[in-house]
Amino acid sequence: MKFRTGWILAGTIAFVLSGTAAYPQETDASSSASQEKTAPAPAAQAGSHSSRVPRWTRIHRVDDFVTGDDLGTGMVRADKDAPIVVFSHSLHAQSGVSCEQCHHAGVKGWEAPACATCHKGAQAVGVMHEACITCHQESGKGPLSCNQCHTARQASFAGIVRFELYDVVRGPLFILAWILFAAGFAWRILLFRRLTRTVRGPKATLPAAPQPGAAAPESADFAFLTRDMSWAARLVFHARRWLKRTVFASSPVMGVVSLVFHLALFLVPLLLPAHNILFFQTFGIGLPTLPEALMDRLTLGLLAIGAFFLSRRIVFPRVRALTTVRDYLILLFVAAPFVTAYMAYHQWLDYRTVLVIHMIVGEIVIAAIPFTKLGHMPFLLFSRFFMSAEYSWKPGNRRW
Amino acid sequence: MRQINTDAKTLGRIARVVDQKKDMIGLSLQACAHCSLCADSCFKFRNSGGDSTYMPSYKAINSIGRISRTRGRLTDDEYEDIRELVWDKCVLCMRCYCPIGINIPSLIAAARIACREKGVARWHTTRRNA
Repeated sequence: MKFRTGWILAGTIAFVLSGTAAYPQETDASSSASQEKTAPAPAAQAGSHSSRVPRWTRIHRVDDFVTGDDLGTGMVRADKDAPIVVFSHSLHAQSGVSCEQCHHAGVKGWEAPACATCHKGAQAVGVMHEACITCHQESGKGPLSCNQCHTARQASFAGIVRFELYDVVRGPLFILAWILFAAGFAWRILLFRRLTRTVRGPKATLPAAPQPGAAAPESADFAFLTRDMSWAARLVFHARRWLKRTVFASSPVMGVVSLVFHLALFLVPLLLPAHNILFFQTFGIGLPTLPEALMDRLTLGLLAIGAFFLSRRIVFPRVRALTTVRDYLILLFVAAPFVTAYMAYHQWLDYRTVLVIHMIVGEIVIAAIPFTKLGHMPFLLFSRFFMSAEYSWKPGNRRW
Repeated sequence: MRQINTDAKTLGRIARVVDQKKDMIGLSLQACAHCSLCADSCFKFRNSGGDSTYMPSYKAINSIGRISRTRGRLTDDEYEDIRELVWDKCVLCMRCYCPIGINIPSLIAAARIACREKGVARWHTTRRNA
């Protein structure tokens, strides 16, 4: 049994690490942007789609835009009565059009100047007409006649309403979720402080083994034991001595799996390129990111561990004895943002809808952390830094 | 129909015990992730042959958890089950280990206090044929 779980663990780690090798490198948007700038022939476009065009999943904020002065895109229609054109970036990226074919001024990182930056007013109409019509006629794809682009139907709400939902979810709802999280977190910390008191004296430790006669001080004991060891052996000795008092000794599999799970739970959303693009666009700063391919594998790993937790709840009597419906719901809710993220990245079902669901579910979970069983999260701080107990990293000075 | 054989005065005393420790009980039980990692730290559990009712978390949740949720309005049989959990199945040695840092002994102690108010204690069983 132990042997088998060890193999499963090793396999999982290998699987996650192989993520970088298994996928083509697509970690940096600027690398794809610096590729060939000339517009290739239509036949070549279709063939080299996946390697040349950045995946649509990467251009998260590049929304469909609508030509029309009334919608803030800077485009002015020469004829006020002409039906508005809705342009979908995702459709164009999916059918093999590179960024530079339209953004001929160049793409830098995740930014590209919009058409209206240079082509202003009525001049834009001519430029857009020429660019769009020429390309559509050459490739023979997409709309070819005037009213296939200029559709009054599309101009109404089709593209726009969804984007407003996206913006609400990205803006106010996101802020609300974090306010709820911060308030709940602070409330729990205050409650904890009120319920505990400061203790003076040494940090609590596991009771030492009974010694005949007067017990020698611990440090002297270990000096005697490690006297003849090399520094490496001494390190292992002390590491084992330290691990012996932690959950890694009593339940090694659960200890490791749970550590990996919780670390990934924080690191994946925090260091994900897509999230940091949003950070950057909102605050002007972003964290360093890890490759998307690795994140993809880590997400799968997280879900696998989630499945492990679920099966543990069902199979092991001792966990089943404690399990309530809430525990299943919590597992489901923690997994949901990762499932939807995986679906969005791989463009299963409708990308936009999945993305908005992903954001809403994620925000629900963030807001729910202090008010549900996920509220064991702030206790990491308490139990590792503040509580006087054998498992605290710092000598805790508070006690229940 | 559940027969609650506890008079109002006793219920009041139990409720007072629960209220005094309301925040501690609430915070602890809410933070418990039901992970069962505390099981192996209990020598009673280890010697029970894996009986999950000996788990520290099980004992806390099913004693003070039930008392605080119902504010003491439990049947005599349920009190007897709790008596078994907090006295027969726990010696309050305070060696249980919670990775989150919940103080399980203080929860069991609170359950014992509430039980004493009810008149249930180590040797005082309400079960006639016990």
